[in-house]
Amino acid sequence: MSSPQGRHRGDGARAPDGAAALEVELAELRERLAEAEETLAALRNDQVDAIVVGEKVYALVGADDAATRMRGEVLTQMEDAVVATDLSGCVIYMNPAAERQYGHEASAVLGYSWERLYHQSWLAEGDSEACTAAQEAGGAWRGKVAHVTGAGRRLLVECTFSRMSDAAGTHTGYLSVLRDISARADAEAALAESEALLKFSLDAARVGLWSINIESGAADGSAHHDACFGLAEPPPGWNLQQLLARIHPEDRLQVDEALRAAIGRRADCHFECRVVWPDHSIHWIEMHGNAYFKAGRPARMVGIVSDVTARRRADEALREADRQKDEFLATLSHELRNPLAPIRTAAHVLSSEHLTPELHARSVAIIGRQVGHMAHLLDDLLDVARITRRRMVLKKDYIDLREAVETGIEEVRSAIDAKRHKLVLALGDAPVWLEADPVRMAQVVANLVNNACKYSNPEATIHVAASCMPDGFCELVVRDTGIGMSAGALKSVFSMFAQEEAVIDRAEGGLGIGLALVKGLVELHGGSVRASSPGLGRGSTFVVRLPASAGPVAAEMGAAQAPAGAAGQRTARILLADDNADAGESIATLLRMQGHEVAVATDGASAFEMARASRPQLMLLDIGMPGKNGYELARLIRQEAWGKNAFLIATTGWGQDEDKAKAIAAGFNAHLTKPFEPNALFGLINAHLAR
Amino acid sequence: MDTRARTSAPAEPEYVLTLYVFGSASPKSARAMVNIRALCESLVRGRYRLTVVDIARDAAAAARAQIVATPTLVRESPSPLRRLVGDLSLRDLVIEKLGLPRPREASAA
Repeated sequence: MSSPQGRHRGDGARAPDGAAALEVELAELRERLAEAEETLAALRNDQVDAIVVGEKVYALVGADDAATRMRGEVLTQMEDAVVATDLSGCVIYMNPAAERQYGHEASAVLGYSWERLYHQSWLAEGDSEACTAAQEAGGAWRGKVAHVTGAGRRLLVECTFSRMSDAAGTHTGYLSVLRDISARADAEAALAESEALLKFSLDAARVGLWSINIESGAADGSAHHDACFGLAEPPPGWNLQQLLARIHPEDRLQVDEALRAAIGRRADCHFECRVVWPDHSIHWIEMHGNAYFKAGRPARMVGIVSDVTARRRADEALREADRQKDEFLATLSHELRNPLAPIRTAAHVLSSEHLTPELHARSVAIIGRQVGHMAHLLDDLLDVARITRRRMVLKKDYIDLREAVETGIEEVRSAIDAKRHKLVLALGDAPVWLEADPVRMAQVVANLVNNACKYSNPEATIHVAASCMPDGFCELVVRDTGIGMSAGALKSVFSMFAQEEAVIDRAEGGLGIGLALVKGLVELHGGSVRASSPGLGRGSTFVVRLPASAGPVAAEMGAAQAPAGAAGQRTARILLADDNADAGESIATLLRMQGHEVAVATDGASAFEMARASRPQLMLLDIGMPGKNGYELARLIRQEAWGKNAFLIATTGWGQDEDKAKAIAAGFNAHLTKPFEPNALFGLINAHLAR
Repeated sequence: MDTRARTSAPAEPEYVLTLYVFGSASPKSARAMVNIRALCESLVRGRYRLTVVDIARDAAAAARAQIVATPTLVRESPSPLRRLVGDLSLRDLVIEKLGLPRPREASAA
């Protein structure tokens, strides 16, 4: 058949003789004829589905084609991929959905193994065996399998695998219906993720979900919802009535109305209310709800709920603190105003024509005492603020607690004397050493003793003891026989503006911050303070414990105790500059009383002129002055020959370290923070003169 | 390089076949595709090239190849050209007409 004579232009046909050529042609014609006959036979035997005439194609409809065509059209229309194979696994049919799903045209795959379409893997163990078993039993296996297409696309496929048989019941192949559910699986995964996120958010926010069937009243909720009602698990038969029953009686009506109003107005509802837990404790919850309607009728109410007890309590605490602050401010104004009346009276007496030496002395004493009292109040206030804001700086030294006790008692001597209290001291013979700020320790003692005085009847006895304990601490004990304290008052005795004692505190005067200050100061020193009382009317005892110290080096003691005494006093020429003429003149008067020769200037420029004229040894310069301020003035003076050796003291209302550093940088020798103790000024002057 | 590339280029397959069909949904055309592929895969795998031409899409191709009915299989090579009409289900006849090796020969090859 495929011999060389078949080739039209082949080498073998290059020089045929006439007979041979004819033979070839004849064979070719016979072949053509055979082909034509075969074509006709095929047409007759219904083996042909279309005929071609010219460029037109005519489809032929065979006898059995109606049913076949319908089946074919059904399969063509199907959304699911359908693939049929013969017994050897060759693809004998695939519908357009299968062509799309696997990216191959049927014409390229028919007759090849199904493995050309996809690689299949079973998802669960035993699926493969179950599939075989189902097919052998004559049925179909439904399940999910994973496919990878020829292009590498991964599909999750919901499949039905079944056996095909012909009319005689002979097993002829397999039919696979393959639905790509990757998109559905992705959507399901996204939904699951979204639900997990929602659950996480609700859990993290401790928010519960609830739902009420409006017609039947049946209700349910999540675990957080149950927890809001103090329930460990969902109560059986939970419904709207049960829910309302657990709401605090005073809030129940309001909640019922809120729910009804939300349904009636088709609006959201939102409220906070109290609930009573099974253990009878009261908690606050916050509920948000939303009604859902079905066919115009309210069907369900769905919402969230959370426990807001902590926030409610914090709100209440805040309101209480605010109330206490207001009360404190009222007390403060009252306390600051109190000393003004006697001062005004005393000033009036002093300016009177009938002033006698006795009246003079008494008025001066009144003014001194009342100013001292006001200063004390303000100092306490500032100190408490400093401790609260952690701005308190301790100037620690080795001190004898017994000396602090004596200093502290002197500070409140007037209070002791006013009510004729009897003071019993138990200080021992040996020093009680500790490392502490002596001023602050005296303040602790003063406040405790002052407190004892306030809460004791006149002529009561107050005990003060200081001692070293064997455990390395020293103790300061202040005991009174006064009104004592209830157990409730003991708890808050050291807190600011303690309210239990408010009434008494008010009656006795004072701000009620003394003990808070004591606690703050003691704790700054690494110590502790506690109060005890056998009960109301039976006195109180305060015990301060502080870490003891081994004691100072003797030399340091001497230096620390150097007095700003008046011995060896000499006089000097002093220039004083202050734009507040009264302030300048009052200090000038004090200095003149010490024998100094003092000139006063009220602005920077005239101060410089006066200094150049009189060349004072000492100058006391205010920083905040019009024209030239203190810093500028000091720099100018230092540039002059006469000013090189003068002693310059800066006075300012600002006492921060940086203010002092600025003064030194400008040429000052020393810095005093206003208002300053006259003794501090004298000390500076005397120290300079003694050099 | 050029020379080597030319010499190492894959040679034309031994059997070059074209199957003209009328859409792959037609049972007769589909059967023809299944039958010829199954036959070639079993007898001359790797030694043939089968091209399927759908005349429902390209009627001109049928006219060019002087096809009068589908399915028709054309043996382009080796020559001479041979045409077989029908679903190619008569296996032995197809083997003979295409000059394919007999199953025994194929297994021996």
